[in-house]
Amino acid sequence: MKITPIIGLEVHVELKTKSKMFCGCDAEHFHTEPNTHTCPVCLGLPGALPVPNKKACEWCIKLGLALGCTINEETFFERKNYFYPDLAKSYQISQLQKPFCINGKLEDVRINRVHQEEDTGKSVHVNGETLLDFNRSGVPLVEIVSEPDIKSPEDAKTYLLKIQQIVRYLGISDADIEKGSMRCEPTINLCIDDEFYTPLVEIKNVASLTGVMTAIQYEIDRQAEQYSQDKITKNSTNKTTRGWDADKQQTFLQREKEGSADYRYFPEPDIPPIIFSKEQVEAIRATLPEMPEAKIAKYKTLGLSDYDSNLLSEDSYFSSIFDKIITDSDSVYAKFVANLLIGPLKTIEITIDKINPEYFKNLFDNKDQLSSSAIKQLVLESYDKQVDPLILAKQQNLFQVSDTNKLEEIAKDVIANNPKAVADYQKNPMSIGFLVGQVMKSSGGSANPQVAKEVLEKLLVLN
Amino acid sequence: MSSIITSDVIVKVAKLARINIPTEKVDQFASQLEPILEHFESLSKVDTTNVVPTYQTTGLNTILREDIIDTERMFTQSEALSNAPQSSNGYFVTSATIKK
Ligand SMILES: [Zn+2]
Repeated sequence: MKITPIIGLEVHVELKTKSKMFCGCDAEHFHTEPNTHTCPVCLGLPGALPVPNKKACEWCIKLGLALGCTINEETFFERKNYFYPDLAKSYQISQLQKPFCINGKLEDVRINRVHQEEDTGKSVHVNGETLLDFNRSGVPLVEIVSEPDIKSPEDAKTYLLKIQQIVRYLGISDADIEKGSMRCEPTINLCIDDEFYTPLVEIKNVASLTGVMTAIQYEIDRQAEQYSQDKITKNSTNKTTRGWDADKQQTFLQREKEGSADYRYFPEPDIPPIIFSKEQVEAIRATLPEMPEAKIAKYKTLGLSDYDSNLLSEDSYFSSIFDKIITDSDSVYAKFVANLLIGPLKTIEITIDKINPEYFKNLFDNKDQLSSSAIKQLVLESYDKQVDPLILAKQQNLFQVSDTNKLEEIAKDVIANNPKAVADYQKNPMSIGFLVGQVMKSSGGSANPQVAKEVLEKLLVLN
Repeated sequence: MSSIITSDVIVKVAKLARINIPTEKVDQFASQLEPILEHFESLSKVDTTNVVPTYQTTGLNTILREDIIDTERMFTQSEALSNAPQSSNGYFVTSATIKK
């Protein structure tokens, strides 16, 4: 039996606006006292009038543009009706017929739509009761709906990480899956022997990246097994929703999926249509930062490896630091700086304003006179103290003596004063470390150990 | 008009609206709902070929607000909970929504 998984992902991203989507309440809801950020609008009290947050709408469009979408010039909100205690109004304001963005693409995955909606409150289930906190109610959410173009759990992970990276580049959300500011609902079925399709299953409650992958794999296996038993194929009414039980590592049947007609969508009468002119959309496009793909390509042209290019462009702030330091196309220099950024500088919190490109250039120009540990120390210290690393190197006597004549003199003394070590070396060349150490000591630590070793070897052969 | 309100429709609508309708009342509701729908059905006789759907009557568009926190309109926790039939430690309380 040939099995081809067909996977589509619905990704929700919580925007980090200051205020909520349709009211001026503080949108912060992590570690806040319950029900302290609410008002008549987000508690769904009668007569309250929702007014959309302009920044949230712009950010939704910005994300759509980054995903290659077409932007609908005229859009409107709709009510999606369903009953659940964490949904105070008994409907969610969302978009159905005219979302802000349609028809995008992320690498091989087509994006159906990117639309704007609002989050629900949070429920806590304890002792047979459900506790409700509406601080999250009405926080702006953007939903990114892919076409079912994903073929494996690994591809799903790659797609999610890309979405996360783009969202973070745009600075519109933390997109933290564990914290719930990025959520994913996969819809899966299988194509069997290029001919039959198993019923669609939507998976809910997956709260980690590993969870997404495991849940998808579990569902692929389950559907294959199910199909081999009952041969039931997809039709317009047998889509189901399954929850993911992270403890048991399995999916379980939830309620039957309510078709979109059952949500009784209708245009939100309280919010007039929204028009973003072509000029306004272009103005938003102009604020798009250089995206990860472009950064990676640029770094590869600089001669950096795939690994380095990916690491540097992982985070937009981090890569902007690299971009600030690198002002020419010298690939040796680029590699030198990349190593420092990915190495010692990765261990501290960096503020871009405190980065002085000149310090890096100076270190680079003098790297042959400095040990690698000295370079690591100097890059951190010069950043910390905002002092030229060369001044620090001089103060701390870190410049290495590579002058062979000078080192030869020291080495001759060391050889004369350490007959036993010399004898050891004659028997076992591996023991040269001791003599190198003595040269380093006599030079006050300033000798280049590699050069010192070479000088010693030359002198001892001549003996 | 033919009977479009079958007892199945009543059961489905009741389920969507979370209204508990006793089995013996289903037929009664079906027969009552029928004439109401018939009444609205007369609207479909109007020719709307060249009429743009009315979602809005204000004629306004793009009424947005800046992303600013408006503490003036925010409730205190006790104000938020003041109409709740049941609350505890700052939360609204309702009967359990999931069975474990
Ligand atoms: Zn509010």
